[in-house]
Amino acid sequence: MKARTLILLKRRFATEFASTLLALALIALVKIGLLNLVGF
Amino acid sequence: MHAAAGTSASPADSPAPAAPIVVLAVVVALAKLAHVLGPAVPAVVYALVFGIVAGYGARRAGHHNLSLPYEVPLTAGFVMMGAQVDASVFGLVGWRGLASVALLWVAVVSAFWLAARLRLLPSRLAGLLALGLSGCGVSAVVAVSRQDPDSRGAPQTVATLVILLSGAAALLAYPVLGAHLDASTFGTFTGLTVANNAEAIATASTRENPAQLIAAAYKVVVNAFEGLAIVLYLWLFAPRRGARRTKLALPKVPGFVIGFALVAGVTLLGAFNEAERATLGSLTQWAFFIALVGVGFRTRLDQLVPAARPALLGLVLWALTAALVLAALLYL
Repeated sequence: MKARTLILLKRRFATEFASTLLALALIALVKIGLLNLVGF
Repeated sequence: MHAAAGTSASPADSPAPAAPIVVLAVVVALAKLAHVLGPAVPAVVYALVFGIVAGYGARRAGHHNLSLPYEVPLTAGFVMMGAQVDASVFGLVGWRGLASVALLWVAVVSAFWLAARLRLLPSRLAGLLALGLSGCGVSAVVAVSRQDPDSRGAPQTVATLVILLSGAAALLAYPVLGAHLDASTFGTFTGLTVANNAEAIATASTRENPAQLIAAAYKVVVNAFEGLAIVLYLWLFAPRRGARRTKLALPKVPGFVIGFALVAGVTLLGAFNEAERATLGSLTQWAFFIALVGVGFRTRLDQLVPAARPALLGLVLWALTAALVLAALLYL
């Protein structure tokens, strides 16, 4: 049970980390104007 | 081991690691194409319907374990939504407008809290409906499921359905019911009581200026408080394990709410120009569109049949709170 909870916590942390990185990466791409080139 | 087992996936088979991403990308592309061909229907409806149909097809084909990775775009979209917070709209709405938002929240939370206390609605569903119909919309309902696993499945689906139906009802009824309101009051009423941004703006655009601008300003203000509403929901409806409901423990603030607040903070400090904010707004819409396809994918319509009564009750309570807000706007 504890191991399963640990796996769930790790997965949640990984998702949150990946999401924040994605958001920051997209914001950085917007700041340098790269996303404007692909139509956004 | 039979040879056939390798070519057709049985229910026990786990899909290839890339399969969920490929399926998500294909369904998103099809839903987006449908929206481009029929832009009169809100994008969220296409996302949900295409997701539901794809999920039904996948389960019919035996892929019961297939779930689409929508949590990453959802959370990233929520963080990027912080860039839409704008100090000038707080000025346009003013203190009277902020008081109206507070009145709406009190009315909606009280109505659904009472419905839960009287056992007319399950408490989780009542909480989700209060959160969504307080103006935060589908994005908030989807976002809390990460912190509150009990809200996943039927409660989340019913709440999403009620929010979409309330938006459709407003789109049809408000232009008729609000024909005698001046454009400013109509915009305020629409921005306050129509939960989803797209439907609120579409409804307000049926009237002359400044209805649309004011409705949009109210949506921005309510969206700016979305993080607070989510924390309030988690505090009221998703008590910590082992904690007593009466014990006033501080809620755990989810990471995406902190991310949203940080991006909103740098936006208010002037980190983004108008073009960059528009681009981030477009990216946020895309992220929520992708997330809603994932939500639709795991939605099971057979779970919705027993939920017809609570869904109807949710719509009735929404209509009552909208009427209360209109009365306050006209007579206070």
